[in-house]
Amino acid sequence: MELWKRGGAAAAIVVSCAIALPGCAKNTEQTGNPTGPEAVATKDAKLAGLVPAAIAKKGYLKIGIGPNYSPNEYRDSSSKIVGWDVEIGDAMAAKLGLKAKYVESHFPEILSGLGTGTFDIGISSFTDTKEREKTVDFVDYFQAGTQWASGVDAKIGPDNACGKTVAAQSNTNQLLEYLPALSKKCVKAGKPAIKIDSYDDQTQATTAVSLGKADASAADSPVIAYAVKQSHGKLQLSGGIIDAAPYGIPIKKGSKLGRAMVAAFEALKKDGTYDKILKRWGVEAGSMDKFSVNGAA
Amino acid sequence: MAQRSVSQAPSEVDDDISAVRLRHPWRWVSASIVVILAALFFISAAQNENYLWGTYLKYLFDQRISLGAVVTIVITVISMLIAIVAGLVAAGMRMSENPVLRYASWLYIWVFRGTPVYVQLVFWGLFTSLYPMIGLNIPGIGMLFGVNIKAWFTPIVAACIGLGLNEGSYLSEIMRAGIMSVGEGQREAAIALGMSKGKMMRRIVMPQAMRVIIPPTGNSLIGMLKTTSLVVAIPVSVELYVRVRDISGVLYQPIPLLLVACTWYLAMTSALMVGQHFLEKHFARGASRVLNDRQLQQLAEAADKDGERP
Repeated sequence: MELWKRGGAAAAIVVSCAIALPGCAKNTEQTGNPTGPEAVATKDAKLAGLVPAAIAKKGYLKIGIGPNYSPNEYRDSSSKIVGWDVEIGDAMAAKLGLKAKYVESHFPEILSGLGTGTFDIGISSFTDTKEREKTVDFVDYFQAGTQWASGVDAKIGPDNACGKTVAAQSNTNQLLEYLPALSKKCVKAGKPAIKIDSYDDQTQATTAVSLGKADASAADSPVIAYAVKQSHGKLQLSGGIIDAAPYGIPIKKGSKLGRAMVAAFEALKKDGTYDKILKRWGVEAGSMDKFSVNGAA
Repeated sequence: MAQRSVSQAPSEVDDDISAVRLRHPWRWVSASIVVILAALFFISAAQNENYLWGTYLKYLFDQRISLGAVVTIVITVISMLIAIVAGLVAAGMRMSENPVLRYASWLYIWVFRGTPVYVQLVFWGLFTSLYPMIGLNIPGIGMLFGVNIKAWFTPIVAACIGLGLNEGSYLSEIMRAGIMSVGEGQREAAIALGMSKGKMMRRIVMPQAMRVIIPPTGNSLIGMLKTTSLVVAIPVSVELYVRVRDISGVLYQPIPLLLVACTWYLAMTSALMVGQHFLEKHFARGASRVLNDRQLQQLAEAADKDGERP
C-alpha cells in the first residue's frame, strides 16, 4: 500500500535525522575542575565488621542522589554522576568494604525511599536539620553554610535583603528554613518582607539573578561559589559563609549503619583521604574534625 | 480602469468585459506589518546576548542531546502503543453490556484523567518502593507467583506505563466517540448481509470510525511527545529534557539549552504532523464528494483510454 511506503519513508527521515545527521558534536563542559588524581580509600576489615549483616552480604550501598547540584553532584560530559560528594561516598563505602551504587532520584523521594528500603543511604548535599532528624538519622560529614550571590550592580546580601527578591532552589534548606526566618526578622524590624522565589534547580535561580528577575540568590556555599564562577562576571559573592550547618548522609532511623559510617569517616580523616578529596575540589573550607550522628545545632 | 459616466445606457457598453483586478491595499499593509515585525523580532533575538547563541549552536547537535531525542521518540511510541491498547480495552468495556466492566472502565478513566500526569509519574517512580513484589497474596496461604519487579521496573518502563495509562484514559473516550459516530443503519445493513459481529466491526464500523478517531489521536501523539519531558518526575536520566537540564546545571546557562530542547521538540512534532497528514488522507477515501488527486488522475487515465477507443 502506498500509505505504508510513504509512512516508511517518513519514519526513515525521522530516524536518520535523529541518528545519522547530528550526534557528532561531543562537548565537554568546564566543571568544578578537580585537580590531581582521585584519592582511593582501602578497606578496613575491622570497620567492615560494623556493617549490618544484610548490607555486608549484598556487598554494596544503594545511594539515592539528585545530580543537579554542581559541583557537589552532577552529570559530567559522559553523563556519569560525579562530584566531590560522590567521591566522599565512594571512599566511605570502600573503607567499609562496600561498593557504592548511585541511583538518580529527588530529595523527597530519597528520604521516603530510606524507610522502604529502596535506598540504603542518600548522598545529595542534604543539610542536617533538627526538623529532618525527626524522620531520618544523619551522619554528618561536611561543614557547609549559606552564602549569597547577587548581580554586580548592587551587592545584595543577608544584611540588606529586606524587601528584595531572593531566588533559591526548591526543597533546599535556604528556601524552606533560612530565607523564611530571615524574612520574619525583616517584618519584626518594621521592614518589608523578603520576596522568596522558588526555582526547580539552582541553575534557574542563578539565571534569574543574572537576568535581573531576582536581586540575589542564597544557596550552599560550594554551590553558590561555583555559580558565580560560571556566570562569567555577571554575578558576585555577597558576604562570607553564614549560618553554618553540616551536610549529613541520611539513613533509616535507628540503623546500625550510622555507627559504621562515622567510624569510616574517622578513618578517612586519619589517613588523609578525606581532606585530599575536599582539597581536590577546592572545598576544603568545609572540612570537619569530628564526625557524628545527628549533629545539627 | 475604464471610466464610464452613469448616464450611459447599458446597451451602449461594449460586449467585451474589461475585467479589472480587485485591489487589496489593506492586505499589503497588514502583510508588510507582520513581515516587518517578524524581521524585527528575529534581529532583536539574534542580537540579544542573553540567548547565548554560541552555546545554542554548540549544543544543538550534542551527542547526549540527540541520543536523548531518540529516547524521547522511543518512550513516545511505546507509551502510545500502551495507550491505544488501554484505550481500546477501556472503550470496549465502557460500551459492554456487563455493568461491572462498564463501571471498572469508568473508574479507570475517572482516576487517570482526573489526576495530573506529573503527580502520576511521581507515583510510578515510587512504585517499586511501594510494591517491591507483585504476586497473588492470599491471606492465610501466603504469596503465590511472587515476582520481584525491582529488577526490570526501570525508570523507562515506569515512564512508558505511566504515560501510556494516562493517555489511554483520553484515547478510550476518543475511540468511543468514533465508534458511536458510525450510523445505526451501517450496522443494520451489515447484519442484513449476514456478517458476524466481529466482521461487522472489522469491515464496516472501524474503517468509518477511524476517520473520526485519527485526527484527535494524532493530536494526542503530538501531545505525548511533549509530555515525555515530564518524566523528569520519575526521574528518567536519558530523556531529552532531563539531559538538557543536566547540562545546563553544569554550564549554568539554561536559556540556550532550553532553546536547543525546543528546536528538537519542534523538529519531531513536525515529522509527526507529516505522518498524520498521510494517515488522514488514507482513511478519508470515499468520505467526500470532492475527488482527491489520485482519484482524479485515475479518472483522467480512464477517460484517455476511452478516447483511444475507435
